[in-house]
Amino acid sequence: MERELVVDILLVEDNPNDAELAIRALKKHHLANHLEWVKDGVAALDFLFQRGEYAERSTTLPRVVLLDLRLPKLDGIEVLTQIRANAETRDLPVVILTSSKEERDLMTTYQLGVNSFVAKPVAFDEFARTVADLGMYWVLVNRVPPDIRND
Amino acid sequence: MRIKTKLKLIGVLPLLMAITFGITAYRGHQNLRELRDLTAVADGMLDQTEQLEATVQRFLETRATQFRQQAYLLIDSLEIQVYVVAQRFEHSATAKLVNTLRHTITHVHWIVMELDALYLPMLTAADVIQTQQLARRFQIEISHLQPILHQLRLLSHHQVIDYSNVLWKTEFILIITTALLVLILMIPVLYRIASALQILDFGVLAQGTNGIPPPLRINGKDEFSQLAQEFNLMSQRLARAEQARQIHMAELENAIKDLENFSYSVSHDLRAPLRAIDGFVAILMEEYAPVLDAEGLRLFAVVSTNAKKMEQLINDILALSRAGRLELEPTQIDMTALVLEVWNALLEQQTERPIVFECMPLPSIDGDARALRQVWQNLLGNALKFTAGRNPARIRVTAERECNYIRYCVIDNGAGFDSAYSDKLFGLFLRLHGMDEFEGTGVGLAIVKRFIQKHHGEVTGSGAVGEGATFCFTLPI
Repeated sequence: MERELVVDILLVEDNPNDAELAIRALKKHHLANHLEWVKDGVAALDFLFQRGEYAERSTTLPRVVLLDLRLPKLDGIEVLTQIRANAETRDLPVVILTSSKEERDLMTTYQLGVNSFVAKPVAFDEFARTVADLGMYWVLVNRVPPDIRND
Repeated sequence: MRIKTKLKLIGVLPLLMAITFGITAYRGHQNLRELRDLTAVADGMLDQTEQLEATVQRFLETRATQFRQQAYLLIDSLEIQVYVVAQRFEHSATAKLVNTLRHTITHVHWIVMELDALYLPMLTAADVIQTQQLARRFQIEISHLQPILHQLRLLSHHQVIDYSNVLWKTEFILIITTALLVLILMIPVLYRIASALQILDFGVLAQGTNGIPPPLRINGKDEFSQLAQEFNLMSQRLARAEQARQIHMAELENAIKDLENFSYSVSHDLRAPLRAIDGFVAILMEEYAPVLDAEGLRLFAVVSTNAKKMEQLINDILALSRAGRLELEPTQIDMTALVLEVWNALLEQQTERPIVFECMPLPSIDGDARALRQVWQNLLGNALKFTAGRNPARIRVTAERECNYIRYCVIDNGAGFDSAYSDKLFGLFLRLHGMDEFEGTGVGLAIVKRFIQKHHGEVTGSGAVGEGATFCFTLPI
């Protein structure tokens, strides 16, 4: 399987419909070219730490991880915990993109050091705009420390 | 035997003792008085004996009838007293002495009579000698009489002292015996009470700890054993109730946990399909617009609207569930500031239209800021929503202080409602207006009610169709 050498956005989303809508919204703004979509928490960690299926991947980290909270195998909170626990990925920008509006999720993820928390709007126009804005900001506007990406 | 009976019996003992004591004391003092009387009688007789001696002497010298009569009177008196004393002390130790006394007095009587007789009608020479002899005999008898009377007096005095000693001793023994008897009888009862109380005390202390406490064991058939049995039954009932309560609590906690999981799932999982519906419909309408006619586009728009409506419904259910779970953090709240803040925020979302808003100064109150903000948001939001057709819309906020609560009201001149349905105002998802008239899910007032109830207040609504509505809530001071 041929892969993009450098991934800008890692989308961790188990719902294929949500993923499709998000990718479509990003594509409209030409932000989906450097996007990797994984469907569960284990795959997300495998990708980030070059394990298993992703053992051959380049060591370059994405500019942002869009992380859902409800995921098969390992949920978003556990994925975030491991990202923050690892020295290489500690500074990696992580944005929670979830349907949940629960206060406890907000509190937990912020305590774990999330960079942003975004609730997915149901209305597609809003959803598309939100995802596009996120992609635009984190890929094009935001700068990351050199240990993640040498610009 | 029951403790009450035992105590009663022990109580009767001192009563019996008191009666015995009284009788003994009464009888003893009576005897004592008699003995004292005897002393007085002996004193009197001594006195009279002296008088008699003197009177007889004077009689011998003067032969006056006056002295003769006086002598006889004195002798009579002495004889009567001796008789009385003899009667009274017939069987006592003094009887012998009294007898001697009686004889002596009788001798004296005879001598006096003889002396009297010698002078009748004339005193002869021989008579003079006889008179002298008689006078001497009289002196001797009198001198006998005096020591006897002294002895009698002394004897009776000793008897008084002895008897009084005996009397006091008897009474003292009586009291001591009774006291000892009561004490001896009381000791087992007191021991029983003390040990039973101790057992009961341990039993009560054991109640506080978990599980069924060991049953109390008090043997016997008195109040304490009965109390222990009842206590055991009570603690069993209590333990059963506690167990049931704990099971109930656990069930309740599970139910709450289920509910929380449920609302979390609703929040998360129910939105995803809605987003897919709305998202793909939007893509359809965008990318396949050329192959769809106007009706086709309208139908997709209906699907999209309903997906959004459903999301609003989910949001409202979650808001209500959160309202139920919110733990109040009461602080002093400036109600006027809060109302104006909420009002200005609501006004920003409104399209320009004539609205007359009045808010009188509202008293501050202790309450949860988040909850009360939501209450005002929903009430003022409703007032704005239902005055949409009015020109101008009038919305008034008032407050009045009652004895132990404050009543806050929001009054509008909007569409109002039929007061026949006022009981449905605060029900979940119950609406008094059609969807095409005013939008909404019927959750706002249910949330208001839940928050106000959490503050131990009440919420009421009144109104009439076309004449506006008044919603009031009370908060305790």
